[in-house]
Amino acid sequence: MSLHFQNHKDSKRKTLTLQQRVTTCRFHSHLHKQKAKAKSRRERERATTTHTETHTHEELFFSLSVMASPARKGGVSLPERRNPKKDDGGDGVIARISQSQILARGKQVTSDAGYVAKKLLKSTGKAAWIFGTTFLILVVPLIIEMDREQQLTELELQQANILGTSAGGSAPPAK
Amino acid sequence: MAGLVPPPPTAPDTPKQNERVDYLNLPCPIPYDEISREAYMSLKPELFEGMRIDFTKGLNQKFSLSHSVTMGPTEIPSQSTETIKIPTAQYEFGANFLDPKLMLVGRVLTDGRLNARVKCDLTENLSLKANSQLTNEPHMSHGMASFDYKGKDFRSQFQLGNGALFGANYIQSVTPNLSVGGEVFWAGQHRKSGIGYAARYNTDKMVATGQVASTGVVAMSYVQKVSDKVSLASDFMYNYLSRDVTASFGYDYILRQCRLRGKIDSNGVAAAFLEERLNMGLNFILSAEIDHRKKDYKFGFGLTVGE
Repeated sequence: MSLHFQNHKDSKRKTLTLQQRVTTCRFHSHLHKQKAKAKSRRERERATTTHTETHTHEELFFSLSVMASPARKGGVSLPERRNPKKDDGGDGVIARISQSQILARGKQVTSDAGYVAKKLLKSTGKAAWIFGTTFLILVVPLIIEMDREQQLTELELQQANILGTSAGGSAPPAK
Repeated sequence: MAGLVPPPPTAPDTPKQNERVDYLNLPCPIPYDEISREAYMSLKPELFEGMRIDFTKGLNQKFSLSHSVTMGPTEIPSQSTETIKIPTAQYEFGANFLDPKLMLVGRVLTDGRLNARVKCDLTENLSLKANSQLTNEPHMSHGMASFDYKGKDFRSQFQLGNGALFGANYIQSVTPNLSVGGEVFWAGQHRKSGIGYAARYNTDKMVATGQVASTGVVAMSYVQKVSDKVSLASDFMYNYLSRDVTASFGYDYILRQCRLRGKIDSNGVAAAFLEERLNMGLNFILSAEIDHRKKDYKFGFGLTVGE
């Protein structure tokens, strides 16, 4: 898109100013339209944000350049000189674009991660519920009954000991 | 003490001799219908929902009466996948006559259904078993009679049912541990016939059975007696016509004060059944069944009074 604007600028200047104004106006309206339309879709929003960002950056830049162009007329070098500046500015814009791409990508990744984490949490919850209720039904009565059985055997062992000792204790005196 | 002679070395040979001789002296096999009874006892307890109170009163040594009250939701078979439950309550009166040679059991329900069972030993080897269920609704009553002949190392049975149902089965002991058998049946009303084979291998510690039938059912079961109190059972059923597979695994703890059976299924069903002895002749029963797939939960409690 930036290259497109450059071509416009280099080819015709006077008409370009008008054209550029028209294009900036168009882009303004375009921006507004896009902003209004794209609320439902994330990618579009992202695209429009990137686009809007580029557009805002570019339109600012070109409005500045349009105003400054009559002063900088002359010489082939000037456009060339402008190019590094433009490149810097373009780099700045590109940097901003890439940054915003990274930002957009980061946003997408975090939202995907959040979605996956939510699903994982839900399925873990389901599994925990199934495991918990099955454990309650199958294992808890078993533990209770085995404990009771153990208590009963201990009691019987104790009683047997008492009976054994009392019989042993009483037998020798009887003899 | 020095005059003791060491035991003769032929002692380990006698079991082998016993094994050789025993082919003429094989034990009588388990009846064909009960070929996997250990697995069924462990894995298929009588789960119920609601409240159940059974009272058995013995009037005589041979004769007893029983009263039973059940209240709770009963499932109605419905076409849709949802289970429809309707709360019902019923009272069942029954009379039992038990004799070494003759057993008569009858039950009457409040909705007019009558169950009757007869088991009679006609001679030493031939016995007759009959059961019938009569209802008020027309064409819903059915009855079945079977003649069992018990041989030295085989059993054979011939069954007759209403609706032109004929069946016959035969089971033979092949080795002291292994018995194999087969059955045929013919249902006149549905114009279906089938043939099936079964085998059972049991030792003191384990029982393994396998069954194949032309109705498309392949069933295998294995029961291991881990100790005299604990046994573990597993069961596998595959219907190759309807592509239905079920595997279940269960335990059976027979302790002094209680009997606890638990089972888990591949259909996502976990069930437990506890019979606790509160007092002499007083048993407290608890039943639980959780079906995770259909989200159907059934819990029941009850009391069994009497021997």
